[in-house]
Amino acid sequence: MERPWIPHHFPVSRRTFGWWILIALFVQGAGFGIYRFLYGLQASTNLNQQFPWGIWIIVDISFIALAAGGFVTAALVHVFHRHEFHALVRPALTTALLGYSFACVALAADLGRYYNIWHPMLPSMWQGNSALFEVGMCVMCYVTVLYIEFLPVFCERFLTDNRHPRLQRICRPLYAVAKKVMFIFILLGVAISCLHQSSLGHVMVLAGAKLHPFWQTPVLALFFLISAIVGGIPTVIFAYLTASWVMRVPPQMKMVAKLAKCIPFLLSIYLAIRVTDLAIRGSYLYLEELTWQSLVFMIELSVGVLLPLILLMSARLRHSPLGLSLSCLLVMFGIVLYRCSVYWLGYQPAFAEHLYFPSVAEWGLSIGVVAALLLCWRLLAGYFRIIELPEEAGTT
Amino acid sequence: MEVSRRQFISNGVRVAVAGSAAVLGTDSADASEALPGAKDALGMLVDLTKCIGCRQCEAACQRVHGFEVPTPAELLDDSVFQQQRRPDPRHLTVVNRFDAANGEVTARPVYAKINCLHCQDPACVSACLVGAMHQGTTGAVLYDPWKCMGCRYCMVACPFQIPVYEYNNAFTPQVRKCQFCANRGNPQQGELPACMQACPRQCLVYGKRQDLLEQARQRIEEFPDTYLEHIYGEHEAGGTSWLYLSSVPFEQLGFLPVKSASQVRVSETIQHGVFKYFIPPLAWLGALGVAMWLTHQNPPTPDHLDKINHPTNQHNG
Repeated sequence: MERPWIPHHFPVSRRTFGWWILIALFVQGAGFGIYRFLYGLQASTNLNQQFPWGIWIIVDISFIALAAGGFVTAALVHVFHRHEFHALVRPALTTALLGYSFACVALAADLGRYYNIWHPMLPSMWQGNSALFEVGMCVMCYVTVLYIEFLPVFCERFLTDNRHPRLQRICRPLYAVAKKVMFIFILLGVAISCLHQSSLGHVMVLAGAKLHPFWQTPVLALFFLISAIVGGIPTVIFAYLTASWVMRVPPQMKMVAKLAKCIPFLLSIYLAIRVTDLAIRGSYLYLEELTWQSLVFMIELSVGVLLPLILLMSARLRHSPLGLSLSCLLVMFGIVLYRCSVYWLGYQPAFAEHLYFPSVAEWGLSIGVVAALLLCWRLLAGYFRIIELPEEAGTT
Repeated sequence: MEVSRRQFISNGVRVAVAGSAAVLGTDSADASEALPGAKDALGMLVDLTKCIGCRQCEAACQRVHGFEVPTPAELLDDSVFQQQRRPDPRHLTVVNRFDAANGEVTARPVYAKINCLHCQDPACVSACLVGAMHQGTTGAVLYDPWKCMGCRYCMVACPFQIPVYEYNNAFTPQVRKCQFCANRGNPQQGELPACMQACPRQCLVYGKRQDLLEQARQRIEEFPDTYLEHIYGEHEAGGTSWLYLSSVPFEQLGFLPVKSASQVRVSETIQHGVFKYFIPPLAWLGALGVAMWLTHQNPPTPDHLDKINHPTNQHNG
């Protein structure tokens, strides 16, 4: 049974139908990206003077919640030393790394003066009162930390590979140093991403009455942090199960089911504070009339929170790859819908003639970015040790 | 020279302290005296009852910004009033007409000029992460395009829905809004706002905000039948440099019912609480470090690391 790990266990050359679909989606997204940079936001988006933030921002903020799996697993395994979940760390790290990197791409497309994106780095322009300044600083720091955290994975690939002697010579000391100091970056990564996730919520506090009372609360920062943790774990499980299925590696169901056990617990805390907030601010009064905001709010809490909460209490379902994947998907749906509500569906500015809906180019570029992310994930999984083979998992 | 943000805030705090002291009766410090920024702030008093909708202010604004200037014939054409207009990147101020008040058609239409109100505690300035939006010495809210990243958070933040964006500009788009003609020259040296100079009815009065407030109160007292007892901008969003007098409730003239406390105080209080002297983030980092150290128990080395460190040892684990 013993089978040593070989770098090309998941050869990228294994071209499948799905691979070509992703390539096609990426190419159309790149096309729309070029269109945006040549012709501007008016030509490519449905943004207007009332809705200055569109899907490129919304995708960033919603999907960053899913990338939070990176810091949650890092905290679980490396801070709290729950090594039984070790197999999840690298898929989660890869997801976070690519998620944050591509969020920056989508952000650059949205910025009117994208060439000034580096301005928050200049101390002369720092504006510490701005929630978005905090977001910007945290993203820059966290992306850097994520790349440092990926360094050992990168080095490992070349340590025993004699075909690249020069790389090997660089990687050996780098790997040794990285292993010694990595705990600092793991701690920094967890701390920074907590700040980052919460500041994303705090951004919308300044919008005041423009955000529907269902969602506008002074504790938005806390909600965004908790939603990131609640959404992060199911995303890691979902990504792990999907990757195992795509790469035809039997998943370690016992381990994932054990982790999934904490989801109903987290979901009930999340639900409880959301409902408490609603009760304290008295905004449940708005539930009496059937507006589409109240509909979205009810769907979010029932389908996205309550349903997976009940489903995941079943041990049988937690041990079924399909059942677990689908329930995790429901949680991810709920978290993304929550963040979409705060930034889009619940945003109701004065003088708006109709609700903003993304244009073809906006959808196209967003889908292209997600396709690029998945392609890169597959490429990285082909070159580096991200997915563990079942033989290697016997350490617990 | 500009009022630094910190100074502005500390002034605000001083006012709050002075205010509470006055309530408690321990100190008779005059609140207005403690706020030099607000005392020096220049404002504009707009008397909507005097406006005849000639749109000379619009034309003057277009002229000084180098935008397309309406011809005299176009200014006389009142078909523009058929719809409610909002400021856009090529019209930083617009005048709207309202034919009815309290549900009844009035004998004379009411006109309302719309532009940036220049908040004293501006949300756009608090929002801007690179300080492209900032407040000048006279309280005018100004914009530096060269600093701007184009994130449009200022547009999300503005409680009056004023800043607009040049979406049609692919390479150098700007946020556009009235800058109180402070970008034209020094208002303290006689360079007056173009719209105010153009107004033939003297609906617009330019001066120190404090004096304007007094004047507005006087007018209300003198003509209680003409004016409502509401100076729009005295308290809205923490107070604005532009003040309005009207005979018709402001909600009916396209003015938003904005809360009197600025949302900036809510947002910044939370933000600075979380980052107080950077102690909470560092404490969080420290707590994580302690957790890491406490739960540490010589973790089992994963198999593949052993294999890399001892490539020959294939039978371990």
